[in-house]
Amino acid sequence: MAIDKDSSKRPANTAFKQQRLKAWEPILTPGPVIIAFIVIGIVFIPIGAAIISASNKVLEHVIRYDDNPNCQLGQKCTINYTLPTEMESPVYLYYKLDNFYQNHRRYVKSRNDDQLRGIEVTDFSKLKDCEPLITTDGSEDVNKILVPCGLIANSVFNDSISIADASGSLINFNKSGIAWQSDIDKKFKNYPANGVGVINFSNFEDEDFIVWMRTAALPDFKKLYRIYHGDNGALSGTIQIRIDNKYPVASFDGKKYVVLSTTSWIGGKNPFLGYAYIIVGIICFVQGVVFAIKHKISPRVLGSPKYLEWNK
Amino acid sequence: MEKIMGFFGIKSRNDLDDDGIRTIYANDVERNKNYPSNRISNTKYTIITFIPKNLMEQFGRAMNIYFLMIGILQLFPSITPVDPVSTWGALFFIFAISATKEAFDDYNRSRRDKKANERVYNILRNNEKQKIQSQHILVGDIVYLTENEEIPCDLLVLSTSDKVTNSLYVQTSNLDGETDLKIKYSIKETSRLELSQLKSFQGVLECPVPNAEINKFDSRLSMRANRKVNTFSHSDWLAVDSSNLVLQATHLKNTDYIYGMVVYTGNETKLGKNKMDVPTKWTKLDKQINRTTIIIFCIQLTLVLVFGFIGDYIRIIQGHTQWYLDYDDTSLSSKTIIIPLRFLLLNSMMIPISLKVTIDVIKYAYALFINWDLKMYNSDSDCPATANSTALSEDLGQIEYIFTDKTGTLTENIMLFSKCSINGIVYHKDKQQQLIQKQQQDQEKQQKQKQQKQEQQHGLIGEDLLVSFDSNESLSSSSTSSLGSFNNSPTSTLLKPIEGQNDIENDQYYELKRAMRMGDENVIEFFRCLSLCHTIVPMPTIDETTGANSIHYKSSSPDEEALVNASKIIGAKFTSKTPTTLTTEINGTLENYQLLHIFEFTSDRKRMSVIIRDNQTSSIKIITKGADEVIFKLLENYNNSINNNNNSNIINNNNNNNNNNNNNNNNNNNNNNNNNNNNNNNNNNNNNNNNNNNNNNNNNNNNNNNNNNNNNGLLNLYSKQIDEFASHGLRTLCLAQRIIQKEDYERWYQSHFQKATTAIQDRSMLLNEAYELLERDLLLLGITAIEDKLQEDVPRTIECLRQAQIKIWMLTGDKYSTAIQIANSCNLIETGTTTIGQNNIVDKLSSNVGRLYTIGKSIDDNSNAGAAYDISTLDVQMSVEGLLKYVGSLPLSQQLTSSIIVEGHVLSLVLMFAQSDFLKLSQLVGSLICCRVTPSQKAQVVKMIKDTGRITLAIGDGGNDVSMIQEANVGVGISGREGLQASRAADYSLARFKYLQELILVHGRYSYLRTSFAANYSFYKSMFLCFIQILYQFFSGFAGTSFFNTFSLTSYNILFTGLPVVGFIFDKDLPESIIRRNPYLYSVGQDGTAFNARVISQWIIRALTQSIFVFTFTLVPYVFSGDSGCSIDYNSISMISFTSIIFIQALTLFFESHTITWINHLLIWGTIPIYFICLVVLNAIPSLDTYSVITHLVESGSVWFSIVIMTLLAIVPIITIQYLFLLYKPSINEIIHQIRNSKSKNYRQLINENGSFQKNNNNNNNNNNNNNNNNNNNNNNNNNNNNNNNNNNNNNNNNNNNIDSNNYYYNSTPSNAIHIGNGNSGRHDHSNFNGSVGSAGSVGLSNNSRESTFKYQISKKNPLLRSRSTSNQKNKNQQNNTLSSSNRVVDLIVGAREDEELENKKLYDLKQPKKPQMVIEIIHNDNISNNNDNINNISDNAVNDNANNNNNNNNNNNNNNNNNNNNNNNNNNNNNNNNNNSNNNVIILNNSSPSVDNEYKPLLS
Repeated sequence: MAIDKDSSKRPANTAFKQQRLKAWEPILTPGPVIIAFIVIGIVFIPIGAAIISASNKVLEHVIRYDDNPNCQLGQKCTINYTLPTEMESPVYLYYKLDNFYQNHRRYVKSRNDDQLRGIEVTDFSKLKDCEPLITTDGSEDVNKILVPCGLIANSVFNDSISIADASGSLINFNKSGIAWQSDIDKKFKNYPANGVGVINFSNFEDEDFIVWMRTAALPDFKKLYRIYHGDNGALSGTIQIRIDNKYPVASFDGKKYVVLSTTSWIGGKNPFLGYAYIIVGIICFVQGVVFAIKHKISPRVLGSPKYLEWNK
Repeated sequence: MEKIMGFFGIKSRNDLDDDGIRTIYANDVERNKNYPSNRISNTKYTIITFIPKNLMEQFGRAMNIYFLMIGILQLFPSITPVDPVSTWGALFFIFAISATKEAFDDYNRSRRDKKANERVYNILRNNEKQKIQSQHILVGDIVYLTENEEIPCDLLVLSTSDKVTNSLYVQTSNLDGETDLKIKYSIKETSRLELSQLKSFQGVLECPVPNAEINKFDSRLSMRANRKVNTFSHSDWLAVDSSNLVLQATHLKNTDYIYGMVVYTGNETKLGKNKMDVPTKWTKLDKQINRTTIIIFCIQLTLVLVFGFIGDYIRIIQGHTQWYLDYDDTSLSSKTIIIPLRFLLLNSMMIPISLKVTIDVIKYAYALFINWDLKMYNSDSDCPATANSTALSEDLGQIEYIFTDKTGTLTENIMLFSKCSINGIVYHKDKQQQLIQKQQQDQEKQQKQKQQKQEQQHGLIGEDLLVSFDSNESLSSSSTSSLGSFNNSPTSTLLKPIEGQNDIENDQYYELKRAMRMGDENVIEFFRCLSLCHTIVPMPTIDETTGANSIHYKSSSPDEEALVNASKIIGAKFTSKTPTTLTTEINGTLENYQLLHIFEFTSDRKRMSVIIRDNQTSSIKIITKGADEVIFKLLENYNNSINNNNNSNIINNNNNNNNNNNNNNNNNNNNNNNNNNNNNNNNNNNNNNNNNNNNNNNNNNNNNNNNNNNNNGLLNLYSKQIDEFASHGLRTLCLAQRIIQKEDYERWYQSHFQKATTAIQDRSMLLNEAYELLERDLLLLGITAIEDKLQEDVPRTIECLRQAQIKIWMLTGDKYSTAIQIANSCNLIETGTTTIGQNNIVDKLSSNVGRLYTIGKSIDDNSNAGAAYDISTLDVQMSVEGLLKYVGSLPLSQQLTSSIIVEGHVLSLVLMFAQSDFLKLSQLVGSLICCRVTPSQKAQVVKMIKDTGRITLAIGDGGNDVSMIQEANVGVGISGREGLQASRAADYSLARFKYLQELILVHGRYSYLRTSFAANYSFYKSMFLCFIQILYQFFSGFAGTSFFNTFSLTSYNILFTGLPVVGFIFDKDLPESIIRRNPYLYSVGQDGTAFNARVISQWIIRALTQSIFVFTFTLVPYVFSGDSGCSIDYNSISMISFTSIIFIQALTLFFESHTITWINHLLIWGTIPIYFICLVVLNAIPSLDTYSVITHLVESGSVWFSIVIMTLLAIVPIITIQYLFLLYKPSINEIIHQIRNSKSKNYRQLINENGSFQKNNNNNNNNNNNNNNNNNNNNNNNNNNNNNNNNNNNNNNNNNNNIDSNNYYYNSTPSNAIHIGNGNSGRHDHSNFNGSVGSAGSVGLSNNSRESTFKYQISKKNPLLRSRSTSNQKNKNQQNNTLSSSNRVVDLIVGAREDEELENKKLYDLKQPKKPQMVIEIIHNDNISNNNDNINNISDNAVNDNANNNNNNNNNNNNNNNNNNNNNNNNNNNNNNNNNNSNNNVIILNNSSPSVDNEYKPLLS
């Protein structure tokens, strides 16, 4: 700003260059800290309570079936299950797998998105993603390319589950809507029937397939299988769960379940978050109150030189 | 020689230069074609080599190799957990930044080169004159240059426009920064050549191969040489040397034209050869960061091994069961390595890739801030501070040792002829003499007052007392006077010494002028010689205003300039000079001399000589001028007298004892004291003069004879006088001469000199030998004493730096006593040292008097001489050992006030034989002085300390400091009068010594803290992410799955954390004003508290806990929500964590920032919108894994609750801990912050809180007023006086209640120099001050004075300063101690806050020198501990503002209408004092330089 002459080497007297920029100095003082803690407490506890109550309203039934003697691998079986309370629609039907590492480094990457989009991929450098399942015999032969390739697509959960009421008539659980609409629209297209490679199946738009292909983040996971929209009113009483058990999990100590669940604004059953909110809220509140009392009873004026302890 | 020639003859042309001699054939392109053309290239790269060369350079860094390795590993899809982009992108970004900077620098260089290369010159080639570009000039060409042209390459001058003297002038400012003109000569024989002859000039030049020695060019030229090799005889050779060579990049001045033959071209010139790469220096912090990096790398490897083992174990044990993984091989095999490598990649983030680039960027910013700082800009020389090195800012914050040169660094290097001794008679520059006397008076007055005070209030220990409040004049002029320096009007006389001298010419040198006029032969001869013996170039100029002819002298030596200027004024006027003649005008008559030789000054020889022939008498004589120790040895009667020298140093001590007595006796009246002191001094001087006169009379008759026994006595007297001069801080030179018999001279000329000058090899050595043959048996004519003033604010700066616990060593080539004197006057050593005569008053046994120990001298030896010249190794060892024991046995406070002085010749022995003891000793004492040391010794000393791991800073201005500057961790150059050599070699260049304070305490401290934080934070944030990755392994089968996606990993390091932390370049943990006022705050850097293992582990623990919280709250809602299992997919889950991490990082940066400017706001909070923009993009591209992930997350309500709670859980504990620490264990910084930020009311309260202060309601009312009206002052006074009354139970004070505007009271009674101040709270007084700014019209004064007040308030006597080292000295009254020091701090802080406000109103005027320094010191005695009420009073007084103080002071001095009231007050207080010897609280108003006289005693000792 103020430069004496053009030739002068005098540095410019600007706030920036002189490090004199107006600055705000955040400093912790009792007032704001106490208020913040108390406010957090006051806000969090009700939120926690709300979450818990919402979560409690969610009805969830988890039924393991792979240990059921009637449901040996390769068998079809029916499990009778009595719902203690009515389940208002919509009711979501999941299958749940335990100890299945869909997030395993080897597994999670093993797919080829282009192929799943219905594109014939013949470039092996691109197909490398599908390692270790690229071709049927491991050779680099275009005609032996697996369709779909990769571990994920080749380990699709293939048990079939259906629910019938006590009388034995099937309840209308819908398949549509279980996958993400965005996946259906953009990520999965049917593979051309006469496309290159050994086509196991080409119906990539199948929603069960799409659901499976969205790999789970943790080894114990549930995947949406069917949705009941309430065509026959609320589910209640005894239901029959009919299972065609084809999917082997015993070798890796896996477990298979059927999960029936309603929903709420918070999503599925999720009490933990509610408890966490309440606990955190209480801690904050108590802290705030303790600090406040301490501040009131024996105030320590900030910045008192009494506290200057130099001989550290 | 013949052999060489023969050898040369058969050499192939390709290696012409191989044997050290280059042969150049003038005007012969063909024969010279193997020499390079004059193309200059300073560039590092060409377009083609840029990328490979730059990459090579970048991969020279270990860290970059590491990242390259990681990047390469990532290229293997089976190993990499993420896309290679995550590393390569960052790597590319970082490389691009460095490469861009390099390319930009290189482009600028090439532009400059191009400009120089394409400049057009006239040359003679192939018998014709042609114009060609500079880059096409070839060796052997003859170049024609006109005035002011830049010289394109090194030229041998063949002829010049000046056919009489064959001289030309060049300005070498491009080369060495010296702006004076240097005279060069063309070769006599070739000067006659006409243009046509030059065109066909066929000379042969033999010269050394290109080398870097600027002042050496011993060559020979043959004009008639047969061009065939080896056929010319010896006699054809003409000797040419550096005086015939003009160098590249210099400018031709005052000369119409020259013809020169091209000798060296392009980058082979002397300039080109002198370009050297500055040695790369790494800062301590850099090294620490590297060490941390290595440790983290080890941790990383451990993790890799552990997890790799687990992963492989699981693979082998369980792999075959997990059919869906389709393992084809689950045994131990070559694939075993894959999982560990994956973990290596997964954890590669632990070493933050952004660290180096972040730190580089912020370092660059620091350098810019230093360049931009107005507070380090010297408007007089238009010279801002310059950071040549951008890498060393952190070291500036960790300095523990400063090594400083004396001349030109501490002093102005403006020389003024001050005194001389001719035949033992001392002549003074009159005005100076008065000043010296005044100085002595002042000092004595101070000491007397101190004693007096001690008598009156035993136990009360004073430091700096008010010296001269008795007259108005003294306030303004002598207030800055510091001990021993004559620095009374800092800028006015310093800046224009020569003119100033002329102005007051009439007053000066009265004695000498009279002696000249009276025809005193000794004096005349002395100044005749003085006007002849030098290398000055006279420049006759015509004074524009008067039209009179006058002569200006141009010289590279300020000493010589001062001497010749003085002799001109006195009556021996050097008028003109040609290469062969000198003319001087003695008392108006011209005397002509033939100049036969000049033996130039070198630092080895420490002398210069001229040999002249008197044109009238044709007698030849040699005049030698040089350092006393050299000249004395060359005197004819030296050996006789040396034995008598030792007894001569007692005079000063005796004198001082006299002073002592007088002072003790004169306790009644200041005026009386003044008179007495005057008398005293006069007496002393008279005594001296009498002695001198006696000697003089004795010796008068013998002056012109060669030998006389009485000379021994004279020599003793001279050496006494030299010591005395030196003890006043003067530089002495001896002047001696000898008549040389004509025959002797001719014999010498032929047999020695001629041989030496034509020698090609070892010519300098031969010449030196030849010189020594003539420089012997000299007769001493007299001694000159030149004064070199201290630079402004040097004592203050040194004091301040010492308060910052920096040890300052002075390394000077100057002599023992001068060094001590300067050290004394600039606060380098504690005053009252035993070897200094003037301040010998204080009892040596008193524990707080600094002592100076000379190595090689007995501890009790108080003489002024240093160690003996012929000291033995054993003596030195014993001495060092003895001193170590002795000093080690002293209490700490005494150790710190002790100083050591070593002389060069002793030092070399010490460094060889007693280094370890010396090192220990040097660390005990407060300061160390090395005098008479050579440049290489300076570097040795620096290296010795540097090798102990301490951070050293060397500051100097001259070429002799370069080695030291380059050796030290940080080199600082003063761009002074001795050229730019030092400042070019230095890492930082400053205009003034005083800017060091700003550079170190402010910039250094900030830089250290900022970089430390950036490093800590960088490690933390990388760890944070890494820990989450590791935690996820527990949930993904230890297979090395990356939790975060490629986008997160790539953007996190650079975009979301790397960039915001750069904003820390604006962070100030404390405002500058506070740092300036509290130098001890500098210890953060020295202790390395901001970056060490503890801090790093704290950050890592923070990263660990936060990552656990974040990870838990990401997963747990899905893991533990009943039995239903996780419903979230792999691609979504990490986005929950990552979103929260973005918030956490922004909040962390926010809470860790001390100051937040709008730029910080932008950088910190800007990450959040940027992140959301990124999310939108990521969400919209179907080919990405993240496609529509966000959409689905947003739809799920619980995600938001998760993010909120995990963010809070990461931040809240940190805040709680910080808050608890703040409450119960605050750091100094935090306390200061709190005090600063507390409102004035709070502040008032906290002052009251310290005890049972009787609160007066009026006080609070006053606090809220910003007016400076009398009513308020009245109230203040009332209150204060009431307090006083209460405390002192003194009814007299009631009289004071209604007196106007006096917070301070002065005892006008001369016998009592103690001032009692009853101040109000700092707040209030400050407000008053602010209010008075407009009306009082004394802004500058008050402001400055106040500033200095606070700067010095925490001075050496503050126990907390020393507490780090003197914990065992905590005394019994610790509580009170802390209390009072706390109040000082409060005061400092509040004062600084006012500074800030003033600064914000942009009130600092840099052109105004910081002048008077008013100091409030709080002193209280033992009684305090008995009386709590008094403590309150102290705390109250402690915060008095100086502005009122100052005003009152002025009032007092001006005898204005308040005087009566003042007197009343004074009397009352006086009564208080007299009645209550136990008066506990005293504020001493000190307006002498605060550092003048610090006999420090700890409070309550």
